[in-house]
Amino acid sequence: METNTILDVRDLNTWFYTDEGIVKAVNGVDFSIPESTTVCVVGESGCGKSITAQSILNLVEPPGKIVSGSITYRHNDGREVDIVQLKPKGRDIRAIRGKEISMIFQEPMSSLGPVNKIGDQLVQTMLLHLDIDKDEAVKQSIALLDRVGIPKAASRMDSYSFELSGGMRQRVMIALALSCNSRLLIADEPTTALDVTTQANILDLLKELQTDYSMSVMFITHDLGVVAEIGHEVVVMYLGQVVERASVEEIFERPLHPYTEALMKSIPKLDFDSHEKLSSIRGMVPHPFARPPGCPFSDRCDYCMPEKCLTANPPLEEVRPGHWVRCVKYESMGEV
Amino acid sequence: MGRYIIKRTLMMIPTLVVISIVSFVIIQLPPGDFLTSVVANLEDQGQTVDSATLAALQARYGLGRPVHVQYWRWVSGIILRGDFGRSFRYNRPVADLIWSRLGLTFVISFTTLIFTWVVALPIGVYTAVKQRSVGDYIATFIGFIGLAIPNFLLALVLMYIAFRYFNQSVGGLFSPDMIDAPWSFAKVVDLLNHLWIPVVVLGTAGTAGLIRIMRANLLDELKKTYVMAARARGLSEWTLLRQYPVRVALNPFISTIGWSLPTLVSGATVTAIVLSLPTTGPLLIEALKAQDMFLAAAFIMMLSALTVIGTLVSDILLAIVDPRIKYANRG
Ligand SMILES: Nc1ncnc2c1ncn2[C@@H]1O[C@H](COP(=O)(O)OP(=O)(O)O)[C@@H](O)[C@H]1O
Ligand code: SF4
Ligand SMILES: [Mg+2]
Repeated sequence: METNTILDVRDLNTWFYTDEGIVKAVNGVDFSIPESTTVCVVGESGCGKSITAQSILNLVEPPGKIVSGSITYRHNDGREVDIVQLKPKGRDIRAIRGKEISMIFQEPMSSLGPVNKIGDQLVQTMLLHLDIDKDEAVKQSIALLDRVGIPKAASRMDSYSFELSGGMRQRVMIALALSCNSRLLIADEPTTALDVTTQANILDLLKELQTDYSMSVMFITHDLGVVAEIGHEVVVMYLGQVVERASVEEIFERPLHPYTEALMKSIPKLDFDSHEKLSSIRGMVPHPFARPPGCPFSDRCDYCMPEKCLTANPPLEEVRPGHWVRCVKYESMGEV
Repeated sequence: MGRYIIKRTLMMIPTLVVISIVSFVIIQLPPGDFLTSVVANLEDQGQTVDSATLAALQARYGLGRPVHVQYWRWVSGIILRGDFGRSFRYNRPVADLIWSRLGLTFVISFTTLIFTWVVALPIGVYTAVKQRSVGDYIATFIGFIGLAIPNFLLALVLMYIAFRYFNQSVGGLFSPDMIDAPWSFAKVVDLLNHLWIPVVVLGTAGTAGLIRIMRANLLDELKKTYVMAARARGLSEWTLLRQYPVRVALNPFISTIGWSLPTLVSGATVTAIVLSLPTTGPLLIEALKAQDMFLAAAFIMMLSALTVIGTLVSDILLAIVDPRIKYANRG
């Protein structure tokens, strides 16, 4: 593992053992997150982004289970730990959750305790992980609420989540995630449920905080427009697999995988002169039990070559420096 | 909070007034009144009632006057002097008769409620957290049996067990030699020895029901994002459960204080007769049969008031546990 890597996910498999059969929600995912970097994970709904995120904190609940692979977290002092090997309810993983790696969720309306005061939740988290007393925790909580843009922060300590708007709740979630200076923030579609203005504000805040705290961020979204705004690196996921990985510049200049290309075409442009029609991707993400043989994208791909694409799932290959893609179009082509 | 409690308490007053009116009207409904029954009874025994006594009694209770005047006499007597009227059947003030029985009814109901909670809360939480485990299935099975067994049967079975294996005098709330003894530590112990049977009998069905409610509610809550979010902050399972989903799932528990009191009190009647408990149920039935109107009215009213007060207590507790409720009631 490279020294500037904070998290390294290798061949991760997280499956759900349902009554109907096994859902391979995450099916051999590889990627890594460097220090002080925002890695965006993109893909349509149902591609396994959230389950990947939950796997990183070992939060997957039955009938789901991490079946194989490794998730190596590298502590500040260089110590490495494989999260997959930790007991999901044990002390070791709990020391990482909220302290080293924190997480914010898509539904700000339901991510805070419904009958708990905002301040209590912040103070509780700080007392759990930091070596400070209650007064200090209260002081830091107020400063933090102020930092994430909550007006009259001190008086908000006694508020309940139902007294706040969606945007304010997401700010509180961000404050909670920052409360113990975690080094990696996982943000699972944190703006999807918000209106456009609020969405922009929250994105600006996250971008600013990432720089200020020089955190690593794993930002999950289905919107490439958001990726362009805040990402440094991009991981494109489809049906539980990584199909393409590269830097933001590279992805936007040279999208290689047909799925990434299709996602690009579906970004709405705020350009009134162009009469280019907004295209959406043909077809739908297949049902988990109706995975096409070979390349998982083959049934929706415009370039599909049946004799090649339907026989085997192509491997993820580095076709340009730092640019990985899983598609037969680039197989054994060397550098593109 | 203080304002909320005051508001809710004031809101209780009109309800209590209506209850007192309804209680009074109900006992006026049967044809005749208790004086007719008195006269008939006495004459059955070969005595004659002289018209002076009759007139005195009539004047005393304002009988023959308009109903609203009678009601006012009755209710003002209760409020101003704690005078619930006289029981003609026992020829004693109603107040002398009801308080000890109301007290015991309350003790049994309250103990049953606590028993129900203490048993249902941990089992409910356990069955939700360990959904589909062996323990969950066992608890569910026992719960259904508890719901299905009629109280009187359970009462008989427990009485048999107490008699056969614990060598205990069965029936009643006290041993024969303790009934008329003054209150002492020994008498309290004796009461507790007898209390468990009615408490288990009355509490079993409610406990089984509450376990189902707790389990279903907690399962709903456990699916919500805030639980995973709290876990993602590193909280231990126990802290997390206690401070987040269980607190939310607790609401119906507290609501039961309100609605379980009438069920307990009415369920207690049948059980009390089987177990020959000196509670309100059996006495109320006698009073109704004999048209002992003031006694019956006092019971009906006090038991209804108990229910209203139970609801008030549960509303206040709910507001303490769940701030959303107070918020919705604000202004
Ligand atoms: N509790 C569950 N039981 C069964 N399948 C699940 C469960 N949770 C998620 N999945 C499956 O895992 C796949 C990936 O889900 P998810 O990671 O939530 O997708 P994304 O976040 O990319 O929209 C989906 O196909 C979904 O059906
Ligand atoms: S492997 Fe074939 S089907 Fe899959 S994306 Fe590439 S060209 Fe399309
Ligand atoms: Mg998701």
